[in-house]
Amino acid sequence: MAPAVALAHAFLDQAAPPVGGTVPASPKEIRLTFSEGIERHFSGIDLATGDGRAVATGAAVVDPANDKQLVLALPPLAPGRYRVRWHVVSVDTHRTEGEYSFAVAP
Amino acid sequence: MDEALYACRFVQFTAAMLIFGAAAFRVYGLPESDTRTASSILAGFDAWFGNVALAAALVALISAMAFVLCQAAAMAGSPAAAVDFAAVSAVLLETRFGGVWCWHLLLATLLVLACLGRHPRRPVVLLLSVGLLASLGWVGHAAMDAGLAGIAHELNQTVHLLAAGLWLGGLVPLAWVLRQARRQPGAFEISVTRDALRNFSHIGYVAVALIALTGAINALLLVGSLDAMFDTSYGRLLAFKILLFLAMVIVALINRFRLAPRISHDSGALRALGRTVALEQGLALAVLAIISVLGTWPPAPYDGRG
Repeated sequence: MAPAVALAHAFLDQAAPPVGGTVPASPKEIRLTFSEGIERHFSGIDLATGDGRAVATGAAVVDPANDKQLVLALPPLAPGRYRVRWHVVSVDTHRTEGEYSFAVAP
Repeated sequence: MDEALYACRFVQFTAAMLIFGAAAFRVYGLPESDTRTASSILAGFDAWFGNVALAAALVALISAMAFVLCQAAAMAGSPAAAVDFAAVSAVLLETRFGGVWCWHLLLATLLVLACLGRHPRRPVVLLLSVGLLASLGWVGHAAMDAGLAGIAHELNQTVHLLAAGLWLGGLVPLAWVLRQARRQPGAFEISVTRDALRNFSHIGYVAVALIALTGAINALLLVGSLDAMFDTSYGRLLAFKILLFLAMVIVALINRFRLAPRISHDSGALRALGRTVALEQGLALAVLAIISVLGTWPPAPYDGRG
């Protein structure tokens, strides 16, 4: 049996709301799950509307119960497309970043 | 920015392995002796070692501090963070890397202080150099697993580094002994050299076995399969490093079985040994250069599971 291969850089494993998906109502939070534990201080999420205007939020936090999850609490979102830009540093010091979009159904 | 990280890592590995390998060499390679000639050789070695250890400890300390600045820039994703106090202190105080690196910086500082005296206490230097080299096994890829698996991976990496330091670092004091023997090829110097070569190769067998074993475990954990070994740039560079390691083993075997037995009656063998040990040192530096880069690359491609 081959051991699970380690990745060393944190890659996005799961996203809620899902990558490219549409949710029926304004979500309470964005919760990103990465392949590695991440550093709280050097990780964050920026949210913008589909036409590029920044959405004011607090700072993203690492879930105290799971250091692979980065959570951003959201204000009520109007229906429309949103763009999520994330950057994280894995606990073994590597920085990765990415972006995706989701939509809130009218 | 990456190049600065590579350079800092290279200097860290080289300096830590040099101090540890040379301090250990004094213990197993040149045992104490009460004859006058022997003690003059030992005194010569200790004076040389004191200078080398102080220089290497200073280089280790300065590059360890520079490494924190480079990490701050890399983690924040902006070169300006290297001179931003908040970012630098966050790296040291808020990250897992920083938790290990504070100890590493403390050990490097203590090493400099221990080497500053006219007669450094060698056991203290040896102990601190073990800590300095071992702490390098606790940052980087080995740090990524959580819990017991993570600790096992880190311990494996620590043994790998210490065994490599024993061999690679030991090549430098070995070259010093060979230089002395070429300069003063008396019967006694030759016998000290012969003993040192024999002791070095005995330790070398153990070190090579440990390097191969812990290296195989590490490759299994990080790369996972032979396919991945040749499909990824990480795997290919690792394969190249293993080739260099094998080349070092072959040179070491030539030294041990072809050249070392001839040094008492063939001054050409002594000169040839000087050259092959220098070649081994060159290969060792190439290996260290590779691990300095490998440690910052992702070991396996992400296949988008989940």
